[in-house]
Amino acid sequence: MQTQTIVQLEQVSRHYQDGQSVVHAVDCVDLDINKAEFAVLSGPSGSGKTTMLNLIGGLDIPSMGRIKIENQITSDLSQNQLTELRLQRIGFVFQAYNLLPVLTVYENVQLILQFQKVDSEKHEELIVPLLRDLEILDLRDRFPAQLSGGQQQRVAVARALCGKPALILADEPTANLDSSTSANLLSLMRRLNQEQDVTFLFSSHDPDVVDIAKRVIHMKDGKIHEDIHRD
Amino acid sequence: MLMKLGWRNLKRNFWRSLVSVMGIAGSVFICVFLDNLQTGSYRQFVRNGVRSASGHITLTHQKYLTQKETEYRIKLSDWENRIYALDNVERVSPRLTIPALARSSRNSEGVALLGLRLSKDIDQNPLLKSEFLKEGSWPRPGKKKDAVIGNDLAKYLGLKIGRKFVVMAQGSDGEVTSKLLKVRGILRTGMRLIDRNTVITQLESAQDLIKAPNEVHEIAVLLKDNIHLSNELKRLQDWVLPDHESGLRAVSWRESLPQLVSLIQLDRYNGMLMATFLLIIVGIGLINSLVMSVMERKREIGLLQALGLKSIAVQKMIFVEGLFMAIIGNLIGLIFAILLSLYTSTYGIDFSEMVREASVAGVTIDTVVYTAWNPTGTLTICIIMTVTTLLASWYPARMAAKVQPAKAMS
Repeated sequence: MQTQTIVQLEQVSRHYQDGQSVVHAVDCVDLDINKAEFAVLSGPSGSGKTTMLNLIGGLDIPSMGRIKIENQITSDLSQNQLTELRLQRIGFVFQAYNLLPVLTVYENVQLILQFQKVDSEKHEELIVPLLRDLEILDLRDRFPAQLSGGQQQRVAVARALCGKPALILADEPTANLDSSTSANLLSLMRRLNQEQDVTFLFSSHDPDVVDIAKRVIHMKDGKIHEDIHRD
Repeated sequence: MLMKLGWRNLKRNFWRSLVSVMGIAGSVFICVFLDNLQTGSYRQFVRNGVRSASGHITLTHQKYLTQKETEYRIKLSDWENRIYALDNVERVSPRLTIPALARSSRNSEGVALLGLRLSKDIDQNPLLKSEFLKEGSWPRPGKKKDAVIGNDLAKYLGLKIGRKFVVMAQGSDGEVTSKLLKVRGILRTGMRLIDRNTVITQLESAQDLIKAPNEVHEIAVLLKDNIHLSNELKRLQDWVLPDHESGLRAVSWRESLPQLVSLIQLDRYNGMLMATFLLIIVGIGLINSLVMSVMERKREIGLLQALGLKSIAVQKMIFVEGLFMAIIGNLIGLIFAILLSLYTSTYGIDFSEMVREASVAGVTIDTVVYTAWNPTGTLTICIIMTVTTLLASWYPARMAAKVQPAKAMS
């Protein structure tokens, strides 16, 4: 079976001006991520993991090189087209959960469907199975402040999955969770990856995440230091 | 969803939202109530103006409108009877206003001698309220020597009830004429011009003085209702058309009381200026409140953009918050303004302690002012306030739309 490339980075660099000096957050990186991969960007703090995810997610623009998401070159897209690409094709899970505090669990997940202008009659049938799968259905009417960290991250995963994206980018998703919650969440994501062929790309230096990943891309000083595929 | 987000974001910082909403509500309340107060007082001005001076429609000499010279008179003819035949006429008041000199054995003073059809004007004309008659009684029909004078004039001339005095004026033939009058009553109106410089007699007495029988300066036509004004004015203008050569004109109170019209316009502009300042202050407050709200939620706004909310939708979300504040503020302000206006439209507001001179632009004013609802004004104020709120939301909305998701969430 031919593998389909979801993400393609060609000589991508991201430089920041920091006073007099230039910081090479990502430096001439080439990388392909294929459909249904379960990959992790690992490396120490400041190695460029989050910048890589931001670049791939269209939240940041490369200083040099080009990024293709499903064959669309992100630097050729306008801000609105990039936003549309994120909405339709990319799901995000953040370290700090980033749920909207004024919306309930159900509404936080529903947000994506509303942005995608999915017929409101279909919301229930799309959201409820997802919440059930993630074991948070009974929390649907609670607000984020009423949830534990693990529960909030599950809501964030549900929100990321709800729009049926081709790629989920997760930035340190287990950083604020205890080990047992973290293990549960990881196995849940792995299951979704296997059952639904959703592509996951994490950034993490959590050994549990690195252990479960099928591909480990080790970054150091903004460059890919090592790229290990595990079968 | 944007509506829900907007609404809940407002509730989230309840006190700040409340302060902004109360700013809008306060402004709407002040503007609507003052507008109703102005409308009520203008109606009273106009009602007093038309009742005491011009009527809704005035038949007069064209030149008398701008130059109040004695010589610009019109023939009374049978106009009174013809006008009374119209459906909507309440009263017809022919009048002469003659500049004269009043002399007693003690002093002399320049006065305006008003010749009126007193039998119809007493208690109808706001100048001739019985409560103003301090002493004596009104001139009797057919008694050409009877006169009512102002309280201050009586004191100055040393006159009392029953005492005689002489008035001198220029007659229609250009010669100086004089007439002996007897004080029948003394008026105290609170209006300096009336109390010090006015003598009121029967119309025929004034006509005798200037030797102009059957001539008047004005025929004031008071209608039963102002809404009939344009119809009746048109009809009277058609009637006087054949007499145009003699200078006869039929004009509405707007032309015959230009000072009152100007005063009302000036007061309206003052009110609008005050409302504008109020709107600017409220606008600045709203900008401050919404900018604070955007700054505090930069991370969330960045998140929404990261999740796929387009910048135009982010702007809409901020506009929705502004719109909610405008709607709630308008409603609260309106409710309080309407309640107070309803109360003051029945019981009035007594300004008698503050108002010394009970006339303005030559028109009697009531010291108790009753508010009157001006639906057009109220609607305009609400629309302007809503537009101001949306304009004030524009800068914070632009600010929110420019949030960089990666920066905001880092």
